Amino acid sequence: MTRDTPAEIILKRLGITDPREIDLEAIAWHLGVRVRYRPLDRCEARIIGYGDHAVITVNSRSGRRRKRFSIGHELGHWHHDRGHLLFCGADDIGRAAPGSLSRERLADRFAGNLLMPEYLLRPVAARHRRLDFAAVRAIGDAFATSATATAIRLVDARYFLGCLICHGPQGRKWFARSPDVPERWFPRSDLAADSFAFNVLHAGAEEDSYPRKIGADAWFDRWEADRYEVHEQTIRTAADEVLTLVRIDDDAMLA
Amino acid sequence: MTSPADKDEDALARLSQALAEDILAASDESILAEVKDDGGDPAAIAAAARALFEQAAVASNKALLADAKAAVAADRRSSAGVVQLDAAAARRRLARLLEQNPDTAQKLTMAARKGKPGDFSDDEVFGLLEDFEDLGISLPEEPERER
Repeated sequence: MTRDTPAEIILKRLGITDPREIDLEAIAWHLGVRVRYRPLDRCEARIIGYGDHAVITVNSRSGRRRKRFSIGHELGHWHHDRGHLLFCGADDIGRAAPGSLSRERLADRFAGNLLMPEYLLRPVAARHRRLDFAAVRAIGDAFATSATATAIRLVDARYFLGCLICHGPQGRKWFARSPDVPERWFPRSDLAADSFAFNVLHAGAEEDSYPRKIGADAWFDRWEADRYEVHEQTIRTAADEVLTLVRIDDDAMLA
Repeated sequence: MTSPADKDEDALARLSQALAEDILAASDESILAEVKDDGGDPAAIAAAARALFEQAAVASNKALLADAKAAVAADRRSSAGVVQLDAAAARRRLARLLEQNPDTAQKLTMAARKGKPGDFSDDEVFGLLEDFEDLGISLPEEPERER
């Protein structure tokens, strides 16, 4: 049996049994933190803490789901640094290098667990036979989280077997890999011209409505990659940014 | 004066107390045997009791969440968020606050990344002052200049 994460312990302490009950301002209040909304020019959110109390300020211009993740992220800093005077200008919220144990990554992970705790995520994810972006968006709707945050959580928590990779015009921005995928499967830094994602990013093609089969060498720069096939599905997350789920079904790749 | 109804209640309470003490004094084995003799399923009864206990715990915990929601709503109503300073006075006040809290000043500088706290916009300065006030980090007023 897996132990509850710190975020899950907080949610259970407040009797939260449904995703719709995850009221972040109330949770913050319970933790001694007041949430304010103001236009911020330099960052998505910040937290100033002193003693047992803190104030989180969230950029009022951001979308609702972005704001929720930002509050969760700052509460993550509060959890780890409570009692100390701190100031976090979190302009990298949700973008810490996956796999690292940086403070930002820890705060991101806390936010993921707070917004999509395992004990509530499991039954919602189980309603979807296969986790493609349609499922990611449906699960995101249930938890009021963005497609990106939801997909990262599903990959990190082993619901999706493969990689989640974000690309911009300059190449790969970041990626997340399921813990069950061996580290030798490291995504290419560039976007292969024969990938479907290439057309979505550079040629204005429509988002993929379903995962499509493609050679693994389009996604992994490794000598054995041309032996295998994977499934890729890409959505657009900004005018110049795409997000791809690369699903690995072949057991030989996972050995 | 004790009414007949009160006497009945007292008697019931004594009976209830005696029964509870009887159960607490009994060994686990004898209780299990008694349940089985009565055709009961100890595991099912234990599960039902556990579920009841968990329900009660969740209900009690939800009350904490409801309290927090009510407090947030009340705070929203009462927070006027008025900082009665002009921009220059607010900057002076922030600078003095930071002088007295060098740790904060250093972190603010790091957070600003591109410059010093002096580079914050007016809105950011007002926001920071309100945050500090909320946290009880404040300075004596400067009535002749700041109002």
